[in-house]
Amino acid sequence: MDTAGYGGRTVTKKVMVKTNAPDHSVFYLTVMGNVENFVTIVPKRVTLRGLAGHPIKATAKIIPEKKYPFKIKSVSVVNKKNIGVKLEKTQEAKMTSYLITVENRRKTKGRYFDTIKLKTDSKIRPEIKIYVIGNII
Amino acid sequence: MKTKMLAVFFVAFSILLFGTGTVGLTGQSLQTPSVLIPESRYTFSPVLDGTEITHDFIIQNKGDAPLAIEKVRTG
Repeated sequence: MDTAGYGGRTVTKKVMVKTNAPDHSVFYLTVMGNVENFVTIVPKRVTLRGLAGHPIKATAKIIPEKKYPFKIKSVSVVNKKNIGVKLEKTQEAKMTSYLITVENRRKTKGRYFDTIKLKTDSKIRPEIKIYVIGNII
Repeated sequence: MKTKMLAVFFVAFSILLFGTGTVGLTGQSLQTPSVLIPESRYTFSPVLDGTEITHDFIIQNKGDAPLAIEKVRTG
């Protein structure tokens, strides 16, 4: 069972098994447990929506979980033609978090999908991805 | 008298035929698979988002006929 995307939740997955046994012709096997978040990103996906030729910006907050602290070493974008990014470090109640500002670079109308890659100093999660959806009208 | 003997023979033959048939069927129906699941629920320790969970469930056949897993559906 892949727990990706279930961070911060209790997951329950059931498997149905059908047999030729009269006493258990159908039965269920259950796998359950808690999945922890490594990081909280608000919003999970960045949406850039606006008029072509006008400035379109959006921000996302990156909050490391107390149990898995990390620092961001670098930021990169898969397609640099679509978006530009700026990363700022913020300090709130002794907790380090980050604010990423994403700006649209596309001058023409249309939709696009892009990915921001954050390199971290964490051994357990050396890279974090943030998906960006652009809708230029 | 002949008719009476014929009737008795017919009844006796019927009992023998159907009686044997019943015994045979009961004997066959006893041969069935029987499922025993020592553990049908697995609770894993807290894991980090993105971790793959693997667990083996044991399904035992305590019957006297082969057990067939006909379908498995995840959800």
